[in-house]
Amino acid sequence: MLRLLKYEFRKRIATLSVVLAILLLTQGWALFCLCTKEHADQLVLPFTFLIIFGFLGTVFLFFDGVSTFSSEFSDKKGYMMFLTPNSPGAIVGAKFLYAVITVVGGYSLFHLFAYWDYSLFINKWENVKEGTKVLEQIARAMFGMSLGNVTLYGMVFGIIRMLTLIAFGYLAVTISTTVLANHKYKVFLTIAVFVGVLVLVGVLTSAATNFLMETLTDQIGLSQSLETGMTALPEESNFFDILKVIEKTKMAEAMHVGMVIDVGFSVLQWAAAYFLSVVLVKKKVSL
Amino acid sequence: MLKCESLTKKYGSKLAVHNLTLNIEKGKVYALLGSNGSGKTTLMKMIAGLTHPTSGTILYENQPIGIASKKEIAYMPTDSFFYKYMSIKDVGKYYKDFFQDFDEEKYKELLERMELSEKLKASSLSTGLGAKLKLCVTLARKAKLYMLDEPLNGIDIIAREQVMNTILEAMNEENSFIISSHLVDELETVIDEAIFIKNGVLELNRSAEELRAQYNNSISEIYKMIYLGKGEF
Repeated sequence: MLRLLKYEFRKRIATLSVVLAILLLTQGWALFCLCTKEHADQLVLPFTFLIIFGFLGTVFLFFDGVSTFSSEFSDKKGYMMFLTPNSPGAIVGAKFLYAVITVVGGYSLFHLFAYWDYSLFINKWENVKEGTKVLEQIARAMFGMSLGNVTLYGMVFGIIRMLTLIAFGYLAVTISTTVLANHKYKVFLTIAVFVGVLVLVGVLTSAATNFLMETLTDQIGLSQSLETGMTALPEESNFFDILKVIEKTKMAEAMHVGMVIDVGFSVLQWAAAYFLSVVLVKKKVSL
Repeated sequence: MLKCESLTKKYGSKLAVHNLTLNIEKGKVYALLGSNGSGKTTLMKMIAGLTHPTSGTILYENQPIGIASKKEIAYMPTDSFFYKYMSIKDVGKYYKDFFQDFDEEKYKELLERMELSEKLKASSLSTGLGAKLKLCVTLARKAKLYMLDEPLNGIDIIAREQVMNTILEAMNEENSFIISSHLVDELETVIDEAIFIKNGVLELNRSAEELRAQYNNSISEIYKMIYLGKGEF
């Protein structure tokens, strides 16, 4: 599978280089402005571009991955993989792995740049640093961890959502190029299958997560302790007093369990999408 | 070596191959003959594992088509299929990475003989040069079964002899060849058996020598008789 993976990268090295070059150039511009400009508002443009390109770059990598996956399963380029003595599991696995590496890599790089710029930014403008203290307190109360760690968790969850999207995108393409290969409305049906599966899985996962979370919050008496704490607050209490009440409950514990449940369901979804894709390729591939 | 039993392939409502039963033996050269759309390519693609039969079975050395068969079957498709970025040298590297039986030295030797430079882009080659490249990379494998789909497609009359000689040199008692071609005359002297397919159905599968003796005609003429509906077979 590693050899197949090597060729996945080799095939798309030009595309990856362009995405990387754009991201690096935008970051260079942001850094230049951070070091040379005197006013914070002069950084709006480079930061906006960095966010837009970071987001668009990840979305582009998603579409590029899915479209390449689609073309190789439906046209002659697929011969390059399917003529070789590799199992469908290895072929599909290499493509999934490529998506994981590029999306995780791209997303992490973008966040690394954002964190770097943010650190420089708050060091240069002290008044901004003061503002982040409120965010820090919210993070401690709600999640029981620092703002930096909450940001890291946010990044990990962003990657998880992206990978789920890719896994179902690949599954939809596999269905389109196998079961629906000769169907007149295969493009329409593929989109319908993709959206349908995403909605169905989303509803089921959300229902299961809610059920588990409700059971948990009942067990730890979260609603009760929150209600008691809030009722006991004097009328003149401010936002920080509310945060202190939340901090005393087991809200952070519930949030952590919620995250674990979410990750667990996501892993199950990826595994299901991968195995179903492999079975379809094994039984139905038609090049 | 290879057994196809009641093989059928449908693309939607179109029947590409219908109830085809075939035996391929070791050490023989088979001509797979038929008009356009008769099902020759579909049959080869099923044997190569590129497409699955709708029904029926294919056994290579008594095992279903899969990783083991792909290690021993070298298929030369009629279409160009190399990745866009690939030079002729990259094509060789790719085959070396995936096929244990790929002989890099032989590949270089075949390229030289076909006057193909390793620096050329595979995707920008003309049909004829592309066919030569596909042939070089396929024959550089020490496979047990070679399947060549229209190996003479786009190759000019001068180079045809060179290509046929290259194919002939690769033949021995340990391997078998299935060659499809519209240019029946070119295959006339090299084949042991002729397989005629018409509209996805196996019309005839006999020894070339027997056919020539029985109909007192060349394979090329028998081909015309079958496809023009002249005579009983």
